[in-house]
Amino acid sequence: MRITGYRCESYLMRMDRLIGDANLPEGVDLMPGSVLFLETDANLTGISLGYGGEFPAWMFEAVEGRDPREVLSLWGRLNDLLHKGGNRGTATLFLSLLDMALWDLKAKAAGEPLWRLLGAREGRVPAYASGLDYPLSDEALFSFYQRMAARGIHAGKLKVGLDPEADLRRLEIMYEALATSGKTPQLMIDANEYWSAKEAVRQIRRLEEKFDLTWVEEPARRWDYDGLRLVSQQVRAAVATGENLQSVADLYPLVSEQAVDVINISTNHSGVTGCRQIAHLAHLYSIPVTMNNAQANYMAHVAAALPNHWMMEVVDPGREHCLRFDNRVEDGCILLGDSPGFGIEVDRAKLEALQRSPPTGQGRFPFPRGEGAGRRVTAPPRGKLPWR
Amino acid sequence: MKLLITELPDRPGGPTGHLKIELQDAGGASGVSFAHRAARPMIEQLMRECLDGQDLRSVAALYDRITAAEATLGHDSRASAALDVALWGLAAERRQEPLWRALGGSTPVAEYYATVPADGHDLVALGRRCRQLAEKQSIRSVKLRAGADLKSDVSRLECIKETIGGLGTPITLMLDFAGAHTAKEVERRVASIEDSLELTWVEAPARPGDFLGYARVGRAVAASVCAPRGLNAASHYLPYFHAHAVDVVQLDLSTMGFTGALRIADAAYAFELPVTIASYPGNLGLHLSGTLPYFLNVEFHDEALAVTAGGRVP
Repeated sequence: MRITGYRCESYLMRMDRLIGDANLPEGVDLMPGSVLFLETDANLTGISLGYGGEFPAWMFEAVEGRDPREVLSLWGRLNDLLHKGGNRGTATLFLSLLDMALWDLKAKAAGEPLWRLLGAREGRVPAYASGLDYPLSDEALFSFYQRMAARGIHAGKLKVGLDPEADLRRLEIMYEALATSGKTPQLMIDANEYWSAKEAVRQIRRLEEKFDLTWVEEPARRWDYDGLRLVSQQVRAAVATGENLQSVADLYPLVSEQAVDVINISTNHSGVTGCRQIAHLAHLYSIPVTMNNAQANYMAHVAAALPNHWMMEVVDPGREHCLRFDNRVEDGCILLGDSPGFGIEVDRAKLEALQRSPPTGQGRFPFPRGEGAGRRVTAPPRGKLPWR
Repeated sequence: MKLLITELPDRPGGPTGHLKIELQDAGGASGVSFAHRAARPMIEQLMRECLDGQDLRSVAALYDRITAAEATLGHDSRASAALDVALWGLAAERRQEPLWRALGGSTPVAEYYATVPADGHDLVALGRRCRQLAEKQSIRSVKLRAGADLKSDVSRLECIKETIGGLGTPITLMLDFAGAHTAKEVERRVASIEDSLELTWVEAPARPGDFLGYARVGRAVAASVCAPRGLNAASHYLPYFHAHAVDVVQLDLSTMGFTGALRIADAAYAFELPVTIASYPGNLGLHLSGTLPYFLNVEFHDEALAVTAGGRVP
């Protein structure tokens, strides 16, 4: 089987609701998307999902004529090509996109869903709910987590950081909503690098007087292993981080400096191959990994086969309008079907319609860092957000 | 699904006490591996308790299952490793793929080295065999098992260097202390050897598990320090990595299987450490070579020198 061609279709989507965090609490509902179609001479097409931008032709040329089933070897080749500029920034996004399409093809060539090709026993991944909920009113917040609880999910992650009083109130709301699952809720918070390390310690300790927190996410900057370690030593909750790093090389200092208790991996971590590398390093150190949310939850295929995967983030803002996919959330888990590869199909008509008439809405590209971040906690002005 | 275990005949001067393991599925596909006879009861127990009735395509999950069961029962990792190697062979055959491609790699690259035993070969025989290896198998790298006597190690290393190096190509030399000495003793011996010879790595320069000893040798000698054979993937490697005690990571299919080897190779990559693959019957380790980002070389299973652990290829 040989790789013969590619097409990368970019589009703009409008989600069904706003999503946001401490950096952009008013949120966005517009998001760029892309689909990479990787063609072969075997009548199989690899599909992967990205975040817009023009796929670089030279990266395709590096795999043209090669067998996609040799994906680990091709990953090494691509990574070497990125040597001087580094495997980072948009280069990583495209490396990830290509690697995921290669794995999709490898599984399709075997006629198997990717979770099976990767050696998982079942296509079933424990899930936690994550509202990306800063722009949600208290009522919308409750109804999101209640909806997730109805699908058996009892763990939830709240966006926090700007308003200590509101954070406490909204944690209570999330708790009550998740309790409707009939299980004891498990609570996580995510500050998205808004705090300084010491600010994080103070804020988290205050929340911990009332709530048992399973993990706190990005309580300090992504590369600040001293700060992250300090937080981990000074609060009860585990420190989770990693989503804004991009490769095992980025994660290495955090792991070897014992600065992280839970590692987030995602579609932007140098592909399926990169996620495996990070998980395997983490496994050596007995650190669990959690998969970040993904359009159509397709990265659950990868999570299912990792020895140290804990639970995967599930959100439902509506990012799948031009996709069909073979999985569902039930019994607190993402249940993956038996369709080959990632099990994603693209509705060409809907994709073309989005490309022809791009939706309008609230968008910020790229997603910025918040005003005052790392220096002081600046609550949004009253009346600007539905919860304040 | 069937498990067939065959005892391989012992050969004088060769490896003894080895089994061939074969896993067969209902469709007739099969996967093969090798193990020492001592692992037989554990292999049969893991088969009964962990694999029977399972979908054998779930290789990664089954690896976690069998290694956990084996550790709970207080056993080393040889039985799970043998089953994992056979499961990978089976998975590849089901997909009608060569194993190296099922693992995700490209055509195996044959950068291999031969290992020469400590005893049993005088210098003339050693020179003759090295010349054969160089001419017939293009061997340019040789690992010597250190003997009891420093002086004879030096003369054997020089003999290898002159014989193969005399053919006009660069040669690399490695020295394996097999965990038989203290770190301090190895430091002294290597320092003395390095006065006249360059060593690419010294292997197992301290007792197994003494990662502190490995680390101190690494700081004292010019050669890289190579991890020993026989480490498992689950717990053995953490101290060696964390203490920066090794410069070369050795993957051993007979204690890690393919699944564990792939995982440790990823961790080695994070630590920027090259990996070498220990010999295994049938040179099965070669299948891994095209998958690993920091692949260095593979130990060649040299029947004539009959040096390495493992059985023979039927």
